[in-house]
Amino acid sequence: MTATLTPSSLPTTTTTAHTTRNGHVKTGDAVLVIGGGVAGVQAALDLAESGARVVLVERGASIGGKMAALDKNFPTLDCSICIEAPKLAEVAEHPQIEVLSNAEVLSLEGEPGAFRVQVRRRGGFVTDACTRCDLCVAACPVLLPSEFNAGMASRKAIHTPFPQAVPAPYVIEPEYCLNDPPNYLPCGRCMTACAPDAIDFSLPRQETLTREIASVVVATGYDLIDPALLGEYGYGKHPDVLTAMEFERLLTSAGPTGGEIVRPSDGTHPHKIAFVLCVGSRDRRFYKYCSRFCCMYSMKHAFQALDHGVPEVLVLYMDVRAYGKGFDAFWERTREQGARFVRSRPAQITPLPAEQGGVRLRYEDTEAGRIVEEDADMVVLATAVQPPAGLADLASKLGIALGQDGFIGTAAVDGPTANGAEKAPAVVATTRPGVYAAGCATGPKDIPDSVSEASAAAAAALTHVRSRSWPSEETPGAPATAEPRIGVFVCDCGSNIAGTVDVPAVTAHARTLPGVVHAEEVMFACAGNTQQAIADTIRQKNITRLVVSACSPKTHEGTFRRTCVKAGLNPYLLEMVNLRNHDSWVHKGDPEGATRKAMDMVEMGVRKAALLEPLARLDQPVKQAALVIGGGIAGMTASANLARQGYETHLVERESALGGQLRHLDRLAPSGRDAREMVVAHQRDVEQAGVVVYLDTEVEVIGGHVGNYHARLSTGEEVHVGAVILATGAEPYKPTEFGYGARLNVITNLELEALMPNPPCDRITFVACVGARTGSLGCSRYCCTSMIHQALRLRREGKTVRVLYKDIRTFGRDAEELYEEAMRAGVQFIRYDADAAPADAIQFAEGMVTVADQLLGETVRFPTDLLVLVVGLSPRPDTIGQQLKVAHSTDGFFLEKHPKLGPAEASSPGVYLAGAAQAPKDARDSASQALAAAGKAGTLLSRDTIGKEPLTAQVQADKCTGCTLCALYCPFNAIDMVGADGTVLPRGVPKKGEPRGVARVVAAACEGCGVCASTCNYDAIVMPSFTDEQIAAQIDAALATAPEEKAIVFACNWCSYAGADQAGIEKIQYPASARVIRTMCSGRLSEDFVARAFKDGAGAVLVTGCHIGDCHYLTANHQTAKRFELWHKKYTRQGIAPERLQLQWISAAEGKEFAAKIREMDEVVRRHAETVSANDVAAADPVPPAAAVAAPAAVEVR
Amino acid sequence: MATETRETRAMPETREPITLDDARWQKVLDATGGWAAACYQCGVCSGVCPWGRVRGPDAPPVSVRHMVRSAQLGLGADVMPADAPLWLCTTCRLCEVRCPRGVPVTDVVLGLRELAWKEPWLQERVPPALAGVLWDVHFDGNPWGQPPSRRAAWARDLGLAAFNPAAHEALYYVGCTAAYDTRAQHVARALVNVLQTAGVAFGTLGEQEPCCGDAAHSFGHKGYFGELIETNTRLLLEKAGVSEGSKPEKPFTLVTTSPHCFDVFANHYPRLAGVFRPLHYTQYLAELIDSGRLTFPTPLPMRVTFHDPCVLGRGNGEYEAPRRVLAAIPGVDLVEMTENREGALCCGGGGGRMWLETPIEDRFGQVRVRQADQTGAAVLATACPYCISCLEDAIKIEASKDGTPPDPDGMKVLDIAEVAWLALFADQAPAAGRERAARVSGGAR
Repeated sequence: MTATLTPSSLPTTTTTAHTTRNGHVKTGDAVLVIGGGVAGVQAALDLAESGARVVLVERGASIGGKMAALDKNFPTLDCSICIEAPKLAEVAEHPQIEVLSNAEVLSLEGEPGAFRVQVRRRGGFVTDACTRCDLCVAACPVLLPSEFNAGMASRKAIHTPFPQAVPAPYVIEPEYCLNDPPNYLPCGRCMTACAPDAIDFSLPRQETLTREIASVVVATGYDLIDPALLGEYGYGKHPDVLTAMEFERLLTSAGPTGGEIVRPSDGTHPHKIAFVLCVGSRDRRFYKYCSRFCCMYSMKHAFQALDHGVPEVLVLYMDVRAYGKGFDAFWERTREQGARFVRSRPAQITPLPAEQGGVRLRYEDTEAGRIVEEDADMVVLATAVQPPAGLADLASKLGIALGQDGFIGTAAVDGPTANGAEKAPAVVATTRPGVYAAGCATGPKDIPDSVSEASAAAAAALTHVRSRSWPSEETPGAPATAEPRIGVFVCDCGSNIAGTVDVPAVTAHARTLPGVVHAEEVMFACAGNTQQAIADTIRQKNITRLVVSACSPKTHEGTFRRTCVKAGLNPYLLEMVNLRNHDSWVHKGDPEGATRKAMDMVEMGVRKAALLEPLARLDQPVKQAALVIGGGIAGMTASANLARQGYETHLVERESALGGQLRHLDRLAPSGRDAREMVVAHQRDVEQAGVVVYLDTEVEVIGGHVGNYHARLSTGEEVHVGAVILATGAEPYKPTEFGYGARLNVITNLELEALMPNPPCDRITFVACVGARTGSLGCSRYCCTSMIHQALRLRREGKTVRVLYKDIRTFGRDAEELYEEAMRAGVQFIRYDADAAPADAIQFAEGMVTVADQLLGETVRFPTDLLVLVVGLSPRPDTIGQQLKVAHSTDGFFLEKHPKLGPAEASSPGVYLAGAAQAPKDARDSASQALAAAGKAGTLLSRDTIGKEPLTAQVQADKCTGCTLCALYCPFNAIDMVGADGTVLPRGVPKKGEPRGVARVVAAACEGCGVCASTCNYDAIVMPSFTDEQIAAQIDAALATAPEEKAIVFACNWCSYAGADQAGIEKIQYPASARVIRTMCSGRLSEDFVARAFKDGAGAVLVTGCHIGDCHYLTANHQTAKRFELWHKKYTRQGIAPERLQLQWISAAEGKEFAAKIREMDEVVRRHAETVSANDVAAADPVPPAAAVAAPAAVEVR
Repeated sequence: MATETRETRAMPETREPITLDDARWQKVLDATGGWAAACYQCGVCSGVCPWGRVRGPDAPPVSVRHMVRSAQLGLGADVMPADAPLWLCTTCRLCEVRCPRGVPVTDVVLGLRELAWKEPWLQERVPPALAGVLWDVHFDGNPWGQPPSRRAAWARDLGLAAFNPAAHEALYYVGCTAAYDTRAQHVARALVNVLQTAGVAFGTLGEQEPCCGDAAHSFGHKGYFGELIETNTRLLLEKAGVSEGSKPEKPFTLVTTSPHCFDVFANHYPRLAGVFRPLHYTQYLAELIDSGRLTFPTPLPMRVTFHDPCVLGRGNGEYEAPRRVLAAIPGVDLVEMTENREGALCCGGGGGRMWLETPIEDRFGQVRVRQADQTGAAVLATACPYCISCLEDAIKIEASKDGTPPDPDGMKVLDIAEVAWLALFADQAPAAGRERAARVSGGAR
């Protein structure tokens, strides 16, 4: 054991209120966040983590927004609620965040730093005594359509918005409740059903609250257009015409059809589905703008439909706007999967005769020039994003202006203005100082762009917060006696557990277990008074280990850890036994089996608890300084913001001036702003903010870990910082096509900037997508809008301008409008073959361009004086990222921590990504991401130390042989090999004669997956709270009796364990033969566990984890997959029936899949148990037949 | 389930590359007011175009989008099929109401037609019949080639006064079709009776009434249309008794029989603004009803469906006036076809198609009368002489398909003016009218 685990050295973490560097007295320390979708949630968390208090106002009953209703996210297809729910729980639990749900802002008075906001909150009638048992819902007689399921399922007047809803699990809508006028009928069924008396109709209907705040973040999200307004598409007239949101709910396994795609009209499986894009978007009749993310989610839907076995999928599109990282590759994948993409906008969708069902689409295939009538069983409309209802009203209450598109207007599009007067980072600033906007409040945006902007807005809002504080986190140390004195509390959860499980019997059983000094049945363990009683008992009976047998640690571990702290017990001496989700809810028909299982589960918990050690939150010192590498728009924006936050900030630029790509531009698109003027403004901003700038300088060597990075610059200077922002930009593609370089009349779009607005020629032709959308490189994102801006300016100078393009991707704010303007002005757009390289599709010879116009169906040629190649952005050759152990995506750009929720962070903690270094983007998006990176870095730097969950790996140096395997497999590069003199050895396996070091875990970088521990052949690495001994004890306890009738199920904390919880929430029944053992990651599993289970005689072993790509620990589950294959081969060879050892990926939403798998494992176990009993009979026989001795229990254990 | 796909090829096989000509393109850009350029080629127009409803699977499809695409590049005869939508277009504007980019396709078509009269590269030859029609207007003052001396013959027994600005509140502009076409004359006579019943003081221009120029306009002959506007403006100012530039105290109402004449006067005679207030007669009748001058005391039990003339509806946004007239007549039961108002299907007679031959199987009117028939109405009412002509033809053709003579109790096509007349005068109708009235009211289903 390392030093931190010894009781005497346990420090107590206390962070006291903290005055900021500029020494202001505390006036406003809170920020108002309006809207609880993913953007609002992200902003709230960033602010709270940075020491601000947050008031989060949400109009609905729960935070989570639209993301909570989505099935999967594009292009990664990871489960939406799985990645969002932890954030929602974090918000709900965060002591710095006050969530006001069912609430609306009434007024905002005052000025930045000293606002006063009034909020009206509607009553919910359900108190904190609620245990989420759901009995009230069953009792309620009022059926209503479920909004969460897009109206395709029902709910009650008392309901939970969705299973993971936060903060209020249940809400009662008085307008539908029978207890309320005009419905008045004395009902009260829910009150009767509620055992803890959590329903109180005398609570106030409505209250007005006032809060003092320093600044505001508006993250109000969006609505979707009602497609019935487009009468020609038949929505609302025909049940098989769905919106994309309705289809999304059909796909979800937790949705109204359990994830089955069925036709609403008759419940059959559709044979053919048509997806229609731009429904109400890019349409003057409704919204002129592009709704930005529909192309991608429709592609996702197409992919999923095919995946669900729908044979025919048709997608009708106009331009495929796959502008983000990995989007083009996903499009390609979807096409390869068999989706048919046709360029068209349908004119009419009409129902077919009822007996036939389905609909007929009438459209022109614009590339083939055919008018087509085609039938489909189902049509899915990608409906336009529109400003949320009431946004204009809210804006007037907040005193901010709206843009022409009806979304919130931003101050200026690209950054600070020349006169330097405006310090506000304009990308997120509204027209009122101190009020910022993020996400879809300022126009349609996908999740990563919203999240990035939320962090940016949080960073901006923080500049008004004059004092910051963090709640004190005192952690009790080790108990007075190290001797395990175990207390077990078994919860009835009303009748949720006690209705199925014989709780008194289980409690009695617990009393018999070794080390147990107290066992007690409680009605509601989580109720406030019960928690106090538990704390009292802990003190009175000197209990040193607490086992709570109730519900899921995913929802209640925090609660009972606080109970421990209250009782003076170290919170890591708690073990939770999940009787509700994993037992009573799922074995309702088998009370005996459920009780037996509950006894096993409690025993497993007790045996593990006996081995628990007290832990202390880890504190790492943080050097409160930042290094920003790269002085383009991203680097300038990030460094200026960090310096203004009060941190020593170093900005390193290898060229002789700041500005990056911008220095070579004339105007920015679509705003038309003067680029040089903006560079000057930014330079001044950087200077005034007090950034230390190094020009003509490169970072030569950099190393360290979060909170402590050391860099040596090419000037010889050394900088020591806590955070690093990589803003190294991207490299414009250097064309080899069209004789570029050798011909004077072929230039790039960037070179054209120097000639703007009046190059000395009349006929100019642009070629889009040169060096983009090719090989591993996707769309370069900035170029369409920029090119159209150039084209329009040239056209206005009287030039003949032609644009050769594949798809026009004007997805950004004001960009589609610019495209329309350019067309109207007479810029000619010619679509060339989207599947061909530009050089293959287009010829340029003797002043003539020749190209096949896909929409005319003819090859055309025309004279051209100047051919402008619109070039994509490629990743720069990188040395710094490698030194910082920052991973790269397949396209060569830096890999973000998470494609959806961590767009501005690198995989290495303490390293942040800004601008085109992460993926190609334009100036506005670069500035936005830079602010997000600065905000994230500021969060880290805001405290002298960083604390983290002490679940990080511990090396027992005496056992380490220096083999380096752990360092090799660590997904976070958190393990260094250290030589005898304490120096870090170079990476890689030491050759003969080279010194062998000892592994050292960089606790700050370690995320606690446990891949290292399971890799180590010498048991030299310990995972606290998930030690080998603890897991072995759980296995032994589970298999103490009738092992052949049981399946050991290993589940990872993030996905498959949550999937098992979901099965409980949905009450999906399965047999009681499984015993679940939780680890943080499936990568923690070592062969010893499997071996031990089989040695103990387990009927079967099931390994579960997140789907590949969803792993909470980047690639840790790849190890699981690899190892499992080896184990399976080995044990099969040793005579274990192959079906007895299985691997299954299960997401947090796949409750149904979990249950199905357990049913399957139960069959396996039954078959095995029969064999065993046959063998027993055979063994009893004095002369056993030779063939029967293939004893599966005789597995040799290493 | 079964999946039906009906597809037809549109494009000619790829030939030699076509060289784009910037000068031609500039002409197209100018002629179409830049609007063709705004199109982003989604194909909705082709999908909604009524031609797609009548053309069989083997006929070349009518792609409005492709025509606009050609225009965007300054191309014409090199890529446009001879049977291009350019002259097929009935200017019904159904595509315009659906166009996501708001392209006024009709204006683009008229712009291209204008160029086609003078630019052989756009179209080698304008349909020959059309030039003859314009000569008829030139020589006879009407596009039907009828003698000018017979223009007022339809009203010989009605004792109509010549328009007198001192005595009249309204000028009734009869229009060429109502003046000469024997079927449309019934409409004009009915309207006169209705106006007289309401006590309207009005006059006509008698034999001096000129052609409003709609034919020239819809053929895209901007030059000749301009000439007509010039001479007609001078004539009308003179008749109103005002000199150029001055205005009467209150503008005189100019009531037209045809929505086409109304459209032209309302939108293309800027110098008449303030002197005349052009109204389609349905709008005028609605006003008279609103002011209580026109009432219908006797019920007319009749189930009616209304066909919106394109020029009145989509062209000028007037969907309600005709319906208000019908609603004012007690007993009239108005039932709508599924495609109504903005979505109404064209009769096929606009955009110059009245003067061009349309094969029987290509006529929209037949689709339209089937839709009307499905409503169970006894009367298919409309408010445009072209619509009446096309729809009546369609009923005859439909009836003759199975070789049986037309059903005397079948659905009838009537003008709104005729419905109003029936409501007022059913008992004293002249022979033809009385017979019709009897059949219609008796046949109300």
